[in-house]
Amino acid sequence: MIVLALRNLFRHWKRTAIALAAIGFGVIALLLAGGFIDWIFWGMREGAIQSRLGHIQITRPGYFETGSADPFAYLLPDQLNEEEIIGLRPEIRVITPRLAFNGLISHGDVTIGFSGEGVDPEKEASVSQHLIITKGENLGPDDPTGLLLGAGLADNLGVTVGDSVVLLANTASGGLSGVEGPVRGLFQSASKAFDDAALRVPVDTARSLLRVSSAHSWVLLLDETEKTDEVLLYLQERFPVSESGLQFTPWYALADFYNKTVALLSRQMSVVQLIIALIIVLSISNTLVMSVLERTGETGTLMAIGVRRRRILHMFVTEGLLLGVIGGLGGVAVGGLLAMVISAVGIPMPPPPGMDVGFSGKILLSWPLIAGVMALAIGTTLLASLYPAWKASRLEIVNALRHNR
Amino acid sequence: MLSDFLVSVKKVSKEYAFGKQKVQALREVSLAVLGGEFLAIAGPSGSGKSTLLNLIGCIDTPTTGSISIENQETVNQTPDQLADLRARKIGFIFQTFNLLPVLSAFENVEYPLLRLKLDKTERHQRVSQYLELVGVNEFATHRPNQLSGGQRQRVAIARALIAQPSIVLADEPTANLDHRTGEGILDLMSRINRDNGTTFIFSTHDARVIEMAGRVVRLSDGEIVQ
Repeated sequence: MIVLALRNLFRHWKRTAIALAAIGFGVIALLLAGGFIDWIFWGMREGAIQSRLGHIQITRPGYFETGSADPFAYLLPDQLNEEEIIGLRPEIRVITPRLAFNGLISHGDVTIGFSGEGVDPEKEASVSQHLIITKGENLGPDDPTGLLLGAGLADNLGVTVGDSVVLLANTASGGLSGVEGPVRGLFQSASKAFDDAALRVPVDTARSLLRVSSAHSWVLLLDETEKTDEVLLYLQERFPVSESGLQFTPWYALADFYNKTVALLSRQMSVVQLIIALIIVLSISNTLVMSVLERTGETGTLMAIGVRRRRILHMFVTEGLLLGVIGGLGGVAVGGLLAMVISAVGIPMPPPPGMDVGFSGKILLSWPLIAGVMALAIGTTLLASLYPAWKASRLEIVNALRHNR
Repeated sequence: MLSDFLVSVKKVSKEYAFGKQKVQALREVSLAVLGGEFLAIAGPSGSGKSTLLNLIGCIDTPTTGSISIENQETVNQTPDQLADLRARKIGFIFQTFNLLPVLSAFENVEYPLLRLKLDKTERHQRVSQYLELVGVNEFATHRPNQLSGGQRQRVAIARALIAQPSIVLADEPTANLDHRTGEGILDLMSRINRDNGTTFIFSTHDARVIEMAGRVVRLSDGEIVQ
């Protein structure tokens, strides 16, 4: 049946070529648009993970909900056995502490509020790879007093690299504590609002400022984002919250902006898919209806010699499916090539909301995207072929045979 | 009650509706055909020859009356049952040959066998045998548009015979052929009828064709006149 369907398709190769082109263009458009959006999602995801969130954060239960109101109530045990946790799963690359605190930062006559984090400079370097150091340098292990300021905070304060600033914060007992240190560098993340208020200091400096010896969170970085759920489940089973008093939170539960952007763009992409599916259906319906009409006599002959209606239906549906498969594969091949070329050249993009620097976009092709696009191409051609095929299978044999005369 | 007739047509009428107008194509026609007959249905255009063949071939249904093939009633059968009946018991030869243009002569003849459970070797042997029988074996790989009218009709005859049906129905099989080619086709049909005992029922209005028939049934205005 497939051989017969192929031969029938290519007996009018120009018409078939036009139908294949319509499907192919649809597939290419979906691949490029979908691949670009997937790349944006990937970039945002990895940016969020590798600049702030890590893959999994270990905290006291409820820290992310109410921790900012009473941060000292959510401190983790003094020493988490990080080496033991790293050794639990080969996927865990790094585990690093963070101590969050708020307070006032002063330089000269200017004093403004800040939102700070104490970090381990050495370990944090691999977790915060996407934190862009716009000026100066990152915190170093041999520099216990240095500070890293968000570019916006530095602008508001009127400081630059090398200037000295004073941090004031409340201690756990309610007293006021202060520390002075030089600005070692300025950073920029994916969020301008964050950069306008954020700063980082070595975790030991933060501990001495707050008069505490532990951290609010331990951030885990894995070797692959896709393994987050697997490792998360393992840790949750290994350290039940009722026994350990620890909560394990995956990055996606903390990435609100990412989640909402994905939801919004995915919905828009669905509309694009629907429009392209409609274009494919309308384009190839004509081809398939013409094919049924001009082969009315042949269909009558087949039915006269004993071919059942269902087989006639299958024959025309097979032709539609083959159009979808051939057009889809052709589209994937050309689209894949175009994606490679476009990614190599790069798509110049303006700065996204909240950022100052533009970027060069790429097309990210993945097997799920290719499979989805192929399914759409085949599904739409199948849909478009159903009505003409059904009409063909319902022909009155005697009337159909008259078309041969 | 079982009869000895291969085909039994009893008081069959067929009425077509063209808008509000109704045309009576056949009026209470009765006909019985024995196995092995070489029967011509003769009559002028519009006399109902093709309608009668269509009804016997189960590709059309009578308005009234009944038709049986090998004692099997064909009226009130489902389209699938009729398709199976045609595939097993009836071969068709059409005036316009009706070969599938995308298939070679060999593949056209093989097509009716594909639904039968024959292994490939046996199927190919049988196709070659029938192509040989009708004298077009050397054109087995040719597509219909590479064959002459006579060659196409020979391929169509092989296709009609390949499933070894009880009856072969031929609607004016020589009408689109020149006289000499048509005569060759009739000779071939006659020879197969004689040698294999296959029943042929064919329609014609050509006097020279009628002369070759074993029996002639004449139709006029939808009625058997002789």
